[in-house]
Amino acid sequence: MSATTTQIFDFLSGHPEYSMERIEIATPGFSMLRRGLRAVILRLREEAAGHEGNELAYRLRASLFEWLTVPVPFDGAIFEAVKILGDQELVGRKWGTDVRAAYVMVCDGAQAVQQEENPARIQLRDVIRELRSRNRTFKIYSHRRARPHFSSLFVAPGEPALLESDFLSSVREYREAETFDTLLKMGPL
Amino acid sequence: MLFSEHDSEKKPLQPWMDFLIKFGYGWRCKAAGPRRIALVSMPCDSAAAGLIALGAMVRDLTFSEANDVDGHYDKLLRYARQYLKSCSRCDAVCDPVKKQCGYSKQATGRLRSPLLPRQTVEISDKTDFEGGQIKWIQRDGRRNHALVTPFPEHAKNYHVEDEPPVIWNQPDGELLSDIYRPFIAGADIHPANLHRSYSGLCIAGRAAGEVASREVCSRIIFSNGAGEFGLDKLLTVHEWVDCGVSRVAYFNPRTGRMDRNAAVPHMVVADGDASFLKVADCPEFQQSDLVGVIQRTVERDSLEAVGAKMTSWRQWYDFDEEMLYGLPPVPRGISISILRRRT
Repeated sequence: MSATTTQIFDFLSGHPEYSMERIEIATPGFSMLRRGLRAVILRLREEAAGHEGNELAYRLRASLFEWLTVPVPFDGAIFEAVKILGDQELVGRKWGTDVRAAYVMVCDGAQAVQQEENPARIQLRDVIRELRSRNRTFKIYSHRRARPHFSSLFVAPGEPALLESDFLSSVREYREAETFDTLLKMGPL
Repeated sequence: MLFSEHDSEKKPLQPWMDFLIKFGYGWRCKAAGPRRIALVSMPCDSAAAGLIALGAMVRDLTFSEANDVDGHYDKLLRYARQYLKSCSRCDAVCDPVKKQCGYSKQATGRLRSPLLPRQTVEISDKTDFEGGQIKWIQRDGRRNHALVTPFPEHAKNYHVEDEPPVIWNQPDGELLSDIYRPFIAGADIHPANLHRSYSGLCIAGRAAGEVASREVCSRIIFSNGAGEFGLDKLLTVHEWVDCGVSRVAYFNPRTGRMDRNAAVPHMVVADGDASFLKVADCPEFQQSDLVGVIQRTVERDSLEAVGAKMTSWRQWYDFDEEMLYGLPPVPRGISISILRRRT
């Protein structure tokens, strides 16, 4: 059941201030992957790249957006996603040497990120553990399809799993949610 | 005064409720001023529109002239004219919007009275419009009937079918001042108003329908020494109470109709963004003060539509800072904007 109006007003009067904490995460491998992918996407979005190039740019952009907003594991799936462009020689012949150079950077980055765990996953796990230890209620704002990636943060035995009620994916869910202390969001503000 | 919400335990009146009731009560301080429009933004779904209407209703109870009794005879004459000159001759299924006959609702020609609870009387075609003399037929069984020419004083006991009685002298249907007075300390309720209906205040329900509007109000239960009362009953919307007087008219934004044929209300309280936008565009409410209540947890498009409407009014309206600064402290979570028409 959603909170009553009085509960919401009581909650608001009990929290006269709010704060926003922004945690920035950087990793050399992902920076390389992102920079290279941006250059490829920009080039392939040009009209001269043709329909196939535009379509590929759209798919690469969707993948990059997902990696920036969802705590995906850095595994072979990332390399698979960027390999849709095909062989490096072929890329050079089709779209030129600048795209090929960027593509090489993308492949190197995609391999480099697999050396360690996604730092966003580590950070999110730490944040949620800390909130739980302080008995702070929280919600995760995410796309419905991103929930399995968040849930996979807590699969170790002895650690409580994330519940469906820990997520918010729509205005309606927000409207019907109980009051909570912290909203977690991954990606651009 | 205690209240409970969603069957929770009883508590004293909360600051947010007290503020909204006082906001409604204080709205009509300057009755003769230019038109004003207010937008009240709430942090969640609530009965805020009902509470504002309740405050405004208590305010109206203090005005001796706030009743439908004055001018009731003229209203019956207008109703008789509509029935005899238009509706009785119309062979179409009633839809005034499509037909563009100029009326908002069908006139059946039947009147009711608390004095004759099981009977109706019928407007007679012998009604004299030039002489201003209404006549109706009162039937007694199948064969006997009498043509009645009522005095205006007697006509007050009769009202249009499906509308609230204009005056109620039975003991079971009049309002109790002990219920309304505690909401506003020092409210000087005019005793005669407690058994007279009034159509000057209107609540425009939710786009989801009248049931949804009533349900949200029924979740708030007030109690004091006089008993327990749901907000829906306190508002005395005609369809929400079993009998007796009604001092708040109801506008259905889905059908675009009011629950009664009445003069332009002085104030309309719109519940929700869709209702607010609908009332804002209704020709019949262009002279009425408008208080819209929205919740911020609706879709962004809906909020933008309301924002665009408020911005468009800025051509002809200024911010009413005088009223805004005169309000009691606004509880955290509520924000209010008030516009006043330039003169």
